Amino acid sequence: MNTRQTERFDVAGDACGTAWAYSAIVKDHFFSPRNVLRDGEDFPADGTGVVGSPACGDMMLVAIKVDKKTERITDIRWRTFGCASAIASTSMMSVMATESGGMTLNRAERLKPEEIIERLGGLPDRKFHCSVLGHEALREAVCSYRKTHGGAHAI
Amino acid sequence: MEALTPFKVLTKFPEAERVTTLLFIPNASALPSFTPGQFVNVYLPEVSAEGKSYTIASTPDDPHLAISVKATGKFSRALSALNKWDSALLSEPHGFFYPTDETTPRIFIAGGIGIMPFMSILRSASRARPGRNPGFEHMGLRIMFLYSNRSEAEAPFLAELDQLAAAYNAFSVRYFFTRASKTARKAALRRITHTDLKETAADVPGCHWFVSGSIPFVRDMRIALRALDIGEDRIFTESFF
Repeated sequence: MNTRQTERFDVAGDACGTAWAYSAIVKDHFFSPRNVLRDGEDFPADGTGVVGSPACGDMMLVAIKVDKKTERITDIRWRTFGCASAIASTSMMSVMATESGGMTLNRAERLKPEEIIERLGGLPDRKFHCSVLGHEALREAVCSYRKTHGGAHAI
Repeated sequence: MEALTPFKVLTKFPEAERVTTLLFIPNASALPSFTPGQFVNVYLPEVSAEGKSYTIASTPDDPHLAISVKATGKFSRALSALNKWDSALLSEPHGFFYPTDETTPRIFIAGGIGIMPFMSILRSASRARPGRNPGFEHMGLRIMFLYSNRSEAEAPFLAELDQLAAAYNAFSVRYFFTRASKTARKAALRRITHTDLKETAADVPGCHWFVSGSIPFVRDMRIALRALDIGEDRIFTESFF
């Protein structure tokens, strides 16, 4: 990979596919991720999901607080051992889950990686699995909440 | 690292060009319970430290766990090449790509090997027992399936889908072959278009849409469905990567 390529692109082209330049939105969420669970932060969650990616070894934890009356996600924290795409994807997911009063659990169960990637302005296909991590961890967190607090699955 | 269970290959057979089905049984434990549409992560330590996700093709009532593999890369070729009694490590079942409602009509859209989640779901529906697991005969709802492949030779499970469509009024299938000039069965020799989706939406109003296939295929189908004002709450996706 030559110097000119590194200056223009964020993801190397070489043998992995075409080179890619991250959108300004991806870079914003990578350099300033929202809703990260910081060291020592106390976040009593109503539901927690932990998933790992067999494709790359990344790990993802998502914790949610839920308004039990409205079943809306009121707050969220996450932490990952992962790449820039995983960080940006989950940061964006956390924004989508809590904006506009918060997603209902039913809506959160229908949130798709494709929606997250669309909000990010796109990711290379070989980074798709990074958006899946956050999405799966959110689904697991919702499952965790439903197991302890009851409630039907989304239709 | 997730918990893994050793399995052995019981048997294998070809499904279509470059597609092999392997039946696995656990070495020393019970088969895992799962919901049709879920997947397992398969590990071959001698090939790679990374695992790959494969949808479970069998049903929860089967005495084995089946996966169908399309040989497209190093890992999938090695998995396809396993022989009887060869070993692999499998995770617990994962995933949320399955209907959670037994009354809403469904449209299934599959591109190529993206058919896999639907095979477990359809097989379960065709073997259902009343009062336990409602299937075609008892659900009273429609399932329409749009199945796109390059050619008949590359498309797995065509005969099985034809049989299901002949056996159950509730199930119908439309075939699309994108690189064929003629086919043995009735099919559209092109890609699935916006018009196909619009006609299907009109034919089966209020349904849930399940889309499975490659990342670009699922992305294009979702964009087309959203352009038809189909809400995100009615769209389920599973992208293969």
